[in-house]
Amino acid sequence: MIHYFDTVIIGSGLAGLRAAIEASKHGSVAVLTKLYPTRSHSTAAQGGIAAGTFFLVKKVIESKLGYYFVAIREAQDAAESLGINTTFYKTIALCLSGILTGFAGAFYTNYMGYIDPKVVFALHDISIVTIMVVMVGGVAMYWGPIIGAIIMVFLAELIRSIPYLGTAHQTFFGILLIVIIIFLPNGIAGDFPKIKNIFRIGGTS
Amino acid sequence: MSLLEVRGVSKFFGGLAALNSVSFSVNKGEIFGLIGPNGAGKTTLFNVVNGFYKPSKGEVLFNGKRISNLKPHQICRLGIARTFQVVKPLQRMTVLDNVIASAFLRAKS
Repeated sequence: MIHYFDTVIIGSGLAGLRAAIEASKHGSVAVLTKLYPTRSHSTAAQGGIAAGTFFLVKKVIESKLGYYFVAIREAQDAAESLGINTTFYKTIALCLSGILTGFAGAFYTNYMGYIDPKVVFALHDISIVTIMVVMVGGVAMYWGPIIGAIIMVFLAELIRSIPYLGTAHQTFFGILLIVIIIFLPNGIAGDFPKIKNIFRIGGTS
Repeated sequence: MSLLEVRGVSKFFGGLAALNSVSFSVNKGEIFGLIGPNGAGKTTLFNVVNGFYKPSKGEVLFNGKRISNLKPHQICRLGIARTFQVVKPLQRMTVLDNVIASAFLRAKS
């Protein structure tokens, strides 16, 4: 049996599926893959980047570099007078965060199929979600961003799927940000004892 | 030779002369006090010795070496430590981590 297609895409990774969606608007498409589509290597790579980032950050924080970064964050003048070259170490910190964000950005481009400055720098898009992930999860903690990402991605998809809300769903993020800053300034991971306390009081009374 | 020598140091902030030709020297083993009313320029002098400010005029010598052109972390490396009027501990670190962060200056890793 012979099948005829306008487009044949080999590989059902992020780029392949994305291209298939676009190409299907203009003609018939076939996707060839060795694996079941949801088992593609893109998913593995995303998990790999997340795990790699987690362990890299953990290793850096436990090293001399990490002590210096924290010292500079807490009191820059004091760090300088402790003999830490703050300009040098801040440059290293910037490079490290640039490398990690660059990795994530490369995959995000693959996932979206295109990239332009508006996507990243517009206040309502990926930039605010990135900050929200850290704010909700907890600043300066290993598990903070992971908890934050799970909650935020889940919430974002949930809110977005409510009908008739349109772009008003972004209001929700603004309200959530205000609530987090007022009640949980250290995020869910940072203020976990506080959260436990609230629930215990609520439970006994 | 004196350990720390301040030679004719002046520091101007715009038209305001915070320090005007300050000179003194501190010898080894000596405890040296610096007193004055509020706004006399004691903290400014500390900041000049420490390297936070560059003196507008004059120079600071430590062990005969000119340090008034160095950065604060280089001056610390030579052996001048300071405290602050408002204490500046590294807040979210433990006491041990505070000491470790400072000790890295003299340690390899």
